[in-house]
Amino acid sequence: MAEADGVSARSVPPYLREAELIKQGAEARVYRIRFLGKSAIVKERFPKRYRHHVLDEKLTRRRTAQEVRSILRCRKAGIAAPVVYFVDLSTNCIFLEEIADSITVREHIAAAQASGQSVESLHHLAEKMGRVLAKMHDEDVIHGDLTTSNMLLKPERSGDLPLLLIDFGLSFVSALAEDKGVDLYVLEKAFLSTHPNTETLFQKLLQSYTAASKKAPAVIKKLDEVRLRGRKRSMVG
Amino acid sequence: MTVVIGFEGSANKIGIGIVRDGEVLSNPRRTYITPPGQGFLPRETAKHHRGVILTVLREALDEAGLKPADIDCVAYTKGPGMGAPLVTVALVARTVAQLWGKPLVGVNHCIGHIEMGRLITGANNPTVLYVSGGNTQVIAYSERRYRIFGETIDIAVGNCLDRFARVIKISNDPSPGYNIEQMAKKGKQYIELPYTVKGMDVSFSGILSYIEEMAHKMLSSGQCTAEDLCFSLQETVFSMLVEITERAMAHCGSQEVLIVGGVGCNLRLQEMMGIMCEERGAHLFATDERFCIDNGAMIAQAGWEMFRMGQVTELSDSWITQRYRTDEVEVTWRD
Amino acid sequence: MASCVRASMSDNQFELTIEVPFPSQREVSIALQSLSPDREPGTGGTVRTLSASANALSVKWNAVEARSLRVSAGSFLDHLALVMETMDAFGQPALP
Repeated sequence: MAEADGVSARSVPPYLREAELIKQGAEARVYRIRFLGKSAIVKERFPKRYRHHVLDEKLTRRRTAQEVRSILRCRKAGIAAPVVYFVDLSTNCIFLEEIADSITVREHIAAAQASGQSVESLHHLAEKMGRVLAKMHDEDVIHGDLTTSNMLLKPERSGDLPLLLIDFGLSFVSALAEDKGVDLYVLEKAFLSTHPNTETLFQKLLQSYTAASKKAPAVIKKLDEVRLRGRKRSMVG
Repeated sequence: MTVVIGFEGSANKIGIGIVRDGEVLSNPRRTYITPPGQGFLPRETAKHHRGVILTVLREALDEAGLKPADIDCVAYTKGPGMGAPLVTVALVARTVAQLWGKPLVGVNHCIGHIEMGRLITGANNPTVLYVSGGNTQVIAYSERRYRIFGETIDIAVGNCLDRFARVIKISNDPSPGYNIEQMAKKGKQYIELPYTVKGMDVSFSGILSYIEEMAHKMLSSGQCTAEDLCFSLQETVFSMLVEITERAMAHCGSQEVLIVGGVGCNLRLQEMMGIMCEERGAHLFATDERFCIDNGAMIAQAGWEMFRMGQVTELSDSWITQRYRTDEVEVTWRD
Repeated sequence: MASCVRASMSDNQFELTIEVPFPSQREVSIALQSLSPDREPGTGGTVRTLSASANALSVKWNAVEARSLRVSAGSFLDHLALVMETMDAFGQPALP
């Protein structure tokens, strides 16, 4: 245990010393920076001192690599995600395209609900989410941390509202329906706890997911199984 | 002033506590301890509770210096938990409520933990990590519910620790978790174990089956000590718990964490959570074994909140339920 | 504690009736209301019926299997004994 705490205070990569810290997420610190003349975001997975350094290094390395890999895989398949500009593996920093003027789906839904819009007005968005996720799963990308905070909307002048996926740190590649089912289960729980009284919205999402992917029936079946496991679990103590 | 007596016995502890407007007047408890290698079964646990419940009730009243007439409401655990022990405790609660002519309030066990934690620590609107033998949940309050943002998708963290203790025959006295914690302090070597986090959810069944399969081999070959295994298991599962708590905090924009439930009194878990909080300028709230571990006062405290809002449970509706999700309860006492 | 026990069997149907006397209507009613709320755990085809008269609680079982009847009756008697002990220990001052 002593060693875990013995890791000396982190050294900030030189290029982040002047950078603007935007926020500290669960995984990383996020900075705004100029990179080769473009405005970029740097995601720094700094060492987490609460966990054993061996575990920390393993997780950090794996997640940095996995995030980049899955973003590339998604973008190749035409799924919107930020462009990766550069990766610094020695400091576990990823340089990403800044999605300017975007808001999270979470903020969008909350704003719609706060302004008294009907749930029906959000059906279109839910359907879009379902289609994007179906496409991602058809590429065998499991996001691993699907929430409405990890989806961005970027209003365009044309009136379009493309949906981007971000935060692929927990992602992995798998063709198993079970993994895809759990991915949707994680989203369902996060969705319903974050946005009370939106059950119909999530239903819409699943409907469009099902319509968009040939492999959906097996995934939905697994989703049902995982839900049932949760409900059947004894809760002693 | 409102005085509520609370009855708890959903697992292997039987506790009866009395709370008067936020003050714990008494909180006696007994634990059913099984031999090393054995877990507690519903029937035997119910028998244990049945054998001591009236003594514990007498203690609760005497320590508080109260007579039945001073009590305003009788609260009991409606669920979740093991059926037979829940029934045993509910029977006594129903009987005294009628004998003393007091209203009855059925309380969700998990809500009891949360409300007790809030009372003792003064945490206002925390992200709650609820960790015990039967539950692993990350909870935050919004719009009249304690909403579950993350939880285990298979077994509870306490169940994982208890079952590991059984595999290498660690004593259940005072609790397997306590003994693992003490042994872990002497662990030197970190053994890599499966680490499974899915967003704000966790899974412990993989790590348990891995360690169940490997423990004896590693111990007999001298590859590591039992202390190393305790250390490595704690470091791994607690890291998972801190990670999902932090993720929920980032998602909800919360700057407070409250740890409740039996596993919550583990000082290493509290230490790790404290470091995470420090790194993000957040505040950690935790309690000690008196209130973390199942007890009667927590049921009294949640019952007190409910009773003050005019909620009572009719006798005919006072059945117990083994499954009772935290988010089923409408939280009428918070804005 | 039981003043009257009847057991019978016909067409593979077991029946058991127990009458439990109490000092007064109040105790009968308390026992009835304490023991009624929890449903019988799903033990194949055993039905338990509780009813109260002026100074006795009657319990009737109909069962297909003798074993599940025994389990149900056994656990019921345990529960009943606990309720009665609770009354003895904490029931002295009746409401004014």
